[in-house]
Parts: sequence; C-alpha cells; structure tokens
Amino acid sequence: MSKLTTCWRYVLVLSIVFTFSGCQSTDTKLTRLSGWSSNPVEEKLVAGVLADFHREKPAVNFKYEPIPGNYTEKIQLMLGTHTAPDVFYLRGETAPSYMRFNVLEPLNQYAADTTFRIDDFYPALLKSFQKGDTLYGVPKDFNPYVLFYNKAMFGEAGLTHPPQNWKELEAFSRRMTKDTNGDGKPDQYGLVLEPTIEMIMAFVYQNGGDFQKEDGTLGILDKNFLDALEYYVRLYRTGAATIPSDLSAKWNGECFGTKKCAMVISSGWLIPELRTNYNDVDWGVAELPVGRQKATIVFTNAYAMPKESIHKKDGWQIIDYLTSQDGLKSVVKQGLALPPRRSVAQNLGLYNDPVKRVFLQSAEFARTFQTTLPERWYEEASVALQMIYFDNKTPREAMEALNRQIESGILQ
Amino acid sequence: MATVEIRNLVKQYPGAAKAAIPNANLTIDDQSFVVLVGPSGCGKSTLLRMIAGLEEISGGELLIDGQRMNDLSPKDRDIAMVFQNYALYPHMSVYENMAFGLKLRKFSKAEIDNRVRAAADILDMKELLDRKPKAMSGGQRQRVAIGRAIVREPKVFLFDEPLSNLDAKLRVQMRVEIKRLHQRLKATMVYVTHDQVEAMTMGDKIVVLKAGVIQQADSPMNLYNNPANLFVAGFIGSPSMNFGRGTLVAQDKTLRFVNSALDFQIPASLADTLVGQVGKEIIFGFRPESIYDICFPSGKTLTEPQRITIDVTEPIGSETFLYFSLQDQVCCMRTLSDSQYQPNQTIDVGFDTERLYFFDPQTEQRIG
Amino acid sequence: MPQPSTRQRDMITIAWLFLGFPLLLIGLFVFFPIGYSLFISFFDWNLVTNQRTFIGLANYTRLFSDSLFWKSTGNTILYTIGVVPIQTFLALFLAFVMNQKIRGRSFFRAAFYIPAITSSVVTSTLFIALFSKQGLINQLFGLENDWLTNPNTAMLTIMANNIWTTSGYFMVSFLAGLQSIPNSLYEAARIDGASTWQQFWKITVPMVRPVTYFVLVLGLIGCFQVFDQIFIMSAGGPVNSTTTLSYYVYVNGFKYFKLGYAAAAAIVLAVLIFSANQVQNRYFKPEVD
Repeated sequence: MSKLTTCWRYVLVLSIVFTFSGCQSTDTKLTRLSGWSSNPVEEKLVAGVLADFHREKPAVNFKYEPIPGNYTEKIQLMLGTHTAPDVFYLRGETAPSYMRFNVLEPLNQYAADTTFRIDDFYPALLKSFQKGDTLYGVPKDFNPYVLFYNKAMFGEAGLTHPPQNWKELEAFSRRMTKDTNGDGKPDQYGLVLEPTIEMIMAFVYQNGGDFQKEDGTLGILDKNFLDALEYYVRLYRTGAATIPSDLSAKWNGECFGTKKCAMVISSGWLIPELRTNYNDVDWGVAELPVGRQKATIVFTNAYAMPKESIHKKDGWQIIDYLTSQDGLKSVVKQGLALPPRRSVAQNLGLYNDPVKRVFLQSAEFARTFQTTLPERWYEEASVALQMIYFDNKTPREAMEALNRQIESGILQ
Repeated sequence: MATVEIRNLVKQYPGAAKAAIPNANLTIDDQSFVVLVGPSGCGKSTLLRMIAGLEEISGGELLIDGQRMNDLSPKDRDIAMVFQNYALYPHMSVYENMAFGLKLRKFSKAEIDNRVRAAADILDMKELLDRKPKAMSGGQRQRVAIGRAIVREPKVFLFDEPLSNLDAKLRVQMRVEIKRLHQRLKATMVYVTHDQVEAMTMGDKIVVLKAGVIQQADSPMNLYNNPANLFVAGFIGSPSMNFGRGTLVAQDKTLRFVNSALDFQIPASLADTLVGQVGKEIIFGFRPESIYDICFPSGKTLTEPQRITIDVTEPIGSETFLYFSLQDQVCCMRTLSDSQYQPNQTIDVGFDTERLYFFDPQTEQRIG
Repeated sequence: MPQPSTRQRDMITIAWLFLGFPLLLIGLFVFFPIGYSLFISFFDWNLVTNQRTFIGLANYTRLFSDSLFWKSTGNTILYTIGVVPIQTFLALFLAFVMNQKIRGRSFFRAAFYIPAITSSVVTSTLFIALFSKQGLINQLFGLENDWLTNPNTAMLTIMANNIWTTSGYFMVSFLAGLQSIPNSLYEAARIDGASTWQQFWKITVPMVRPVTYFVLVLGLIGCFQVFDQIFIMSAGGPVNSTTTLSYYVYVNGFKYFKLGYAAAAAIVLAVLIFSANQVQNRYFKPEVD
C-alpha cells in the first residue's frame, strides 16, 4: 500500500472518532439532579443550597446539571431514552401526562416518614402531583392567580378598595375604561383578560363548575361552566375589558405595566417585571374577586424521580433537604418564590408582608387545573377559545364544538 | 428616399476625459453602401449605434431623410440592424424570429407571412423556417439575422461587423451575398468592419475612423490612390504601405529625398508642392507594388536605383513578397512568383515616380 | 479488462475515502431517519415511555379520519399555491429591475437579499409587530385588523412573511440567469419595437426558464415544509387556520407524544411533496439546451 493511502486511512479513522466523540456518556455512579435555570441569580442560590446539603449529608454523591433552553422537550427526550436525571423539576402542566405514562416513581413510602410532615404542604399543591392517592412529586414553589390593581388609577376614579365580587369587578372596570383623547376609542381599560383556559377556569371554579367532573365526564356544557364563561366573555365583548393582542401587547403584564389597564389577573412572575421595567406603577395585590365561592388557580412545580432511577434513596435525600426549611429559606428570602410549606411561610414571617400575604392566603382556596384527558385536549380547548374571541362564536357554540371533538375520541 | 446625415455629432461618455467622438460629419446617400472602418476602439460601432438609437447622442444632429432622429427611440427610426453575434431569439424558430418585429408592429398575419417567406426566398432559407437557432450553423444564423432585417423593409440597414464570427471562407462567400442583396434591395446600407479588405470590396464609400475622428471618407480607389494622411495610407492596402523618414534636400535646381538608405530625385510633378519643405524632415511612403527590380522592364518611370538587401522571401503562390530593411524599418516588395530571389541577395530597385507619397511628420497629413 | 495498476487502485481507494465520510454522514442523518420514519409509522410509540406496539396501518386510518389532518393538508396546499407563484414572479421581477443600471443598485440588491439570510425568528418577530393591531401595516392603511388573531387573515400574514424573505433569495438565482442573457438580444428587441414590458415577457421570461424551473421546485418543496414562522407567529392558530402538515407532525410528535402517528403524517407529507414534484417535472421541465 502506498504511503498516500495509509495517510488517508488515518484521516478517515480520526474523523470518525472525532464525530462520535460528540456523543455524550452518562456517568451512572452519581445521583443527577436537573432543573431549568431562569437567571444567574437563581442559579447561584441553588448552587449555594446544594453546597449546604453537601455539608450536611456528605455521603450523597450528586451532580447538579441544569438544562438551559427547552426544558420540557429535553426532559421528555431524556425520559424516552432512559437517560433522565435522578431528580428533576416537574411542571404542574406536564405532570398529568407523566403520571399517566407511569414514568415517575411513587413517593408515598418516602413521604410517609413523619419527619417529612407531608401535611405541612398546602393541599392544593400536593393535589397537582397526585393521581388517586399516589403522590408523584413534592412541590417546590407555587404561584396563584391574584388581582393586581393600579392604586393611582383607582384613586382617580374615586375607588377606595379593589373589587370584592363579580359585580364590582365589572362595575369598577367599566368606570376605569375611558376614551382619554376623544377619538371614539377607549385608550384606557379597567381590566385586561387573557383568552386562556386557565384564567377562565378561575371564574368557573368560583361559580361551582368544572372542566372535567369527578366522574371523568366533561362539565363544559353545564350551566355553572357556561355562565362563568359567558360572564368572562361578556366583559370583553361589552368593552369592559380588553385582551393583550388588541393593544398590540405580548402579554397582559405589559398592558398593566404601561398603565393602559387598571387591573390584571396575574401572579408572582409579574412582580419582578414591574420592579425592573415598570417601576413607576403604584400597584397593589388582592385576592381574586369572589363568585359564588372563593377560588383561584395555582401554578406549581415539584421535584420528581423517574421510575427507572437507580439512586432513589439518595434522590429522596436531596428532595427532602431542598423542600425543608433550611433548603427553602435562601430562595424564599430572596423573594424569588413562595414556599410550599405553610410552616416555612410562617416562620420566615412572610405573612407579615402585605403582598406575600395575599399570595399565601390564596393558596388556601386555590385549585389546580388538570384533566385526565389525552394531551390534545389542551390544543382543542385553545381552538375553542379562539373560536369565541377571533371567530365570533358564542361561548355555547364553542363549548359544544369542543365537547364534540373530545367525545369523538379523536384525542386518543 | 433614405439619406442619412450626420452633422457635428458628438459622443461623450459621462466622466470621460475626452469625447469618444468629438465631431463627426458625414453624408450617406440614398441607396449607397457605406462602410465604416478602422482599428478597434476607433468609434465606428459607436457611430453606428448612434444612428440606430442604441447610444445616446451627446451633441450635434442625426437626420434620416431630413428628419431629426436624436430623440427618437430605435423602433421609431425605421432602421434595422444585423448584430455581430446575430442576436437571434434562441427560444423562437427562424420564422418567429423574423416575424417578431412585424408582430410587435401589429402587421396582419397574411402580411407577415408574405414578408417572411419573401425574405426566406431571397436568402435561400425556405427549409430553415421551422428550425431553432441552436440547430443551425453560423452562416445560416447570420442569414436569419439578415432576414429579420429585410422583412422590416427599413429605410436604412445597419450592419455591425456581421461577418467577424465566421470562418474565412464563409466570410468571403457572405460578402458577395450581402453585396448582391444590396443591389437587389436597392436600400441604404451602413456597414461596420475592422477588416479593410472587407471594406474595400464592399463599399461604395468608405469612412476611415481613428480615435473617434473621421480621417477620410471616399471611394475605395480614391482612398487607395489618394490617402489624405499617414493613417489612411498605412491602413488601406494589404500588405500596407512602406514608410521611411528622411530629409528634403535641394540640389542644383532639383529636390532630393535623402536618408541613410535612400537617395533619389523628386519628380518635377511633386517638386512644386514640396518646395516649401526643403531642409525639413519628411516621411516617404511607397506601396509594395510600386517598387521594381531594375533588371526587369517595368514600363514605368522609376527613380534612381537604390540598393537593398533581401531579408526574407515569402512566396504566397500568386506572387512573392520580399522583405527588406530600410533604416531598421521592415519593408515589403511585391514581385512575380517565378522570380528566383534568395535571402541576403542584394538587388537594385527603383520606385514608380507616379506613386510616391510624402507626409508631414508632425501633422501626418499628406503633402505630396 | 486489464487489472488496474497500483496507482489506479490507489486513486480508487482515495476516491472512496473522500466519498466515504460524507456518504456516512448523509446516510446517518438523512437516509436512515427517512427510512426509520417509515418504519415507526407502523407503530404506536409513546415518546416518553418509549413503549412500542406494532399496529400496522392503524396510524394512517386514524390520520385520514382526523378532520384536523385534512385541514392541515388543505392549509398546506393553499399556502403553497399562494406563495410559490407570487414569490417566483416577484423574485424575477426584482432581478430584472436590479439588472438595469439604476442608482443605488448595490444597496437595493443587498436590501432585498438580507431578509433571506436573516434568522426566521427575527423576521417572524418583526412581522408580529408589523401586523399587530397597532402595528405599522394598520397605521399605513388606516385599518384596525389584528391580522394574526383573525382566522381569515392569519395565514395571509405568514404567507407575506415568507414571500418577503424568500423572494430575495431567489432573486439572486434569477440575477445570475439574467446576466447570461446577452445584451444584444435586448437591443435587437428594442429595434424590433419591443417596450420594456414586452422585452421582459418575450425575452427575459423565456430565457430564464431553467432558473424558473429551479426556483419553482425549491419553492414548492420549501412551502410544503413551512414550519418556523408558524411555530413562532401563530402556533397553528387561530382556530387551526395556520396549521400546516409540518406543524401537525410536530404537535402530534412532541406535544401529544405520539411519535408513530406523527411519523405517519410525515410520510404522507413526503409522498405529497414527491408527487407534486413529479407533476412539475412532467409538465414544466425545460429541455436541456
């Protein structure tokens, strides 16, 4: 063989090696913890808490591997390819699917340990990660819908307190919807609503209705559901409220921050936005106005373990620490999240903060919004809402269409 | 009637230091065949394109049949042009290529058909009408290009070096055909070429251009026998005229041309015109056929014999060219093909006194 | 046949070595996934649990009974019919204009081409802003439409986005084609009496036919696969008016976790593209000069 060919054979081998070195290998000796990282501040805090954990329990060998970017997609793929981390963040929205597919480790036996004090958690949060009586995730934080209101605009309109019920919500909103520059179109709205199913469900729950009843059948054509939906839609159609796209805004927080709306239904994620980008707004929070009963929607995340993990004992140690007072206090103190444990909130004096108190009290009557339907139900529900808001269908027509879709079994 | 008149025509490209054509004056008579000839870049194509309307006229006037054409677009000037690379529409058949201009002018189908077939007849292309250009030879394509011009029945035909892309044999053949066409159609034709042989054989009138300036516009024989300046003298004729520098010297009552290689008396016919140049430098020109070996009778009055040494002989068949040097200039002499000259042979030659040309070295104009 | 010499054998080996690596890559990342997609379309495969059950053609029958599948196919075809002709003509027209000697020609050429090489995320975000209720388009024309939330106009907005970005890309192809048309053809046409418009139709268009074919084929294939803009601008809505087949595949595979079903839809899309291309070849392919 000539020298030339030998040389090229080396090149070929090297390039193949080079290509395949890009493949990752997972080290199975360590317990792997993963989550999303929203910002450097939060990452540093988490690293700090994990360092404390390591000091307390040096026997646990673990590795923290945060996932930047599309967290949900990556975790799904990792679960599918049997390379999932031993402990990972579980979103409340995707929990039903994972529970349905039986890929998560049931945690009842671990949580039964009395030192864990499972009843210290706000019940609504635990419910998000329960299927029947089995617990699949330990809540790490939460955010309920509350009502933010612009104190200055309220003052201008002569209103002294945030609306307490649906009637006041509509009346106050109309009062603060004004045409300030005389062009015939309102430039300021009392309320901004998002045409999303979650926000609507807060009202549905307050009216005693439900998307999917206890027995699994759909409740979307029941009077309680439709009345609430019709109230919600009427606010928009009669001009008492607006939606973000009408103001060319990307989300309702922007409408509130730019002072185009006096009230907005939002949650903890709005606060940093107001503090950084819209800090000239004089705002306050209140519990959602009450319908027939108090209710609101809570969004929560948990720590979960995949069923096929081989480090479950160690994984539980991590979860236990991260959800203990020691594990929670630094993140909570920074104001980045609300603790899932009532005792922690009390011990750290959070109930004394007027804003945080509203959130914590809301947790007591909050509900999670989940169904047991196959995943496509969410898209179909969104389409039904789009029919109402963008295709001029009535709420009843849209819900009837949605009902037909779900009943037709097309979701399977 | 289709006369073309060019009055004080100027072509100046924006941003150029000098005008491409500073000032051109020319009259092209009705039904004449006028050739614009000159080396590359002399402005002949530019002039033609200005007549066509493809180049903007910067100054002066262009008249066709007495009407001012400066601002008219090409299609309104009633001209037709044959391009060097034929410019046939590749996606159309020969018939469609020829019919294109007529269709655009909304001629009736019958009329179009008549004209196209008539032109095909004249050019002997009847079988080619359905072919596409890519399926034809260069010569056939050129005929289609000409046919496209014929059907338009324009006032003036313009040819932009149409034969330059053909091989030598075909070129000669097409030359004859174009001349025949001219006789048959009796149309005004303006023809551009860089080949002076082509110019000489085809034109009624030849316009020699150099650097945008018309050097001389005259009949072929006049240009040959009476060039107006050095450039025309050297350009027309192949092999070209031979030149040599020397001084005019007065001796007794005669004038002589003297340089390091030659020394002869100026004939009386020229003496009067040249008398003003005595003592000055002058350029002498003679054509290769105007120099004779004194050993053979020429039937012409020759100057005194001059001695030359032959460098190279070039027998081309019908005659032989002899190359010799005069003052480091290579000169050419025509002689009969059966003459037995050898390189390095010295011979005595004389110039035909009726075919001597003298030029002023500074102005390059002909003075004698 | 005589045995190849050592030198020839070396050359052949070297040739294979050169080819080997790209072939490996293409095989691994193009041919294998295509074949594998066909394979898994016969399975019910959950992305998260990684369980596979063979179900034969069940995915396909389910596909054909889902009204959303038919709507996506219809949307895809409508989108393609809307975008391909306009984008092809616009690209040719722009190239024709850009080929004339006008002032600032280089600037315009760059300006038309830059959208083509700008990230689709950037152009989509730009268009969301332009076509929002208080965006520039409404202001310019005195309208009040929220383009992206109106089921009747959402698709038009996405089509406009793609036409704007892709025309520039194909304009470059046409420019190259135009510049191979000798100028003397246009001069002959001028003398024959053609106006600029007639020159465009009777000379430019026929002579760039090979480029037009190329642009049509690429345009067709690209339009059938449109995804980025829909993902960013409208998420398939409102009321599924902008759900195309590729978006349907994505949603079923990665949101509903039904990989086998999504693969079936993808195979249907591939067959559709292939058929459309065959039709194009049969009726529109220019003869090779």
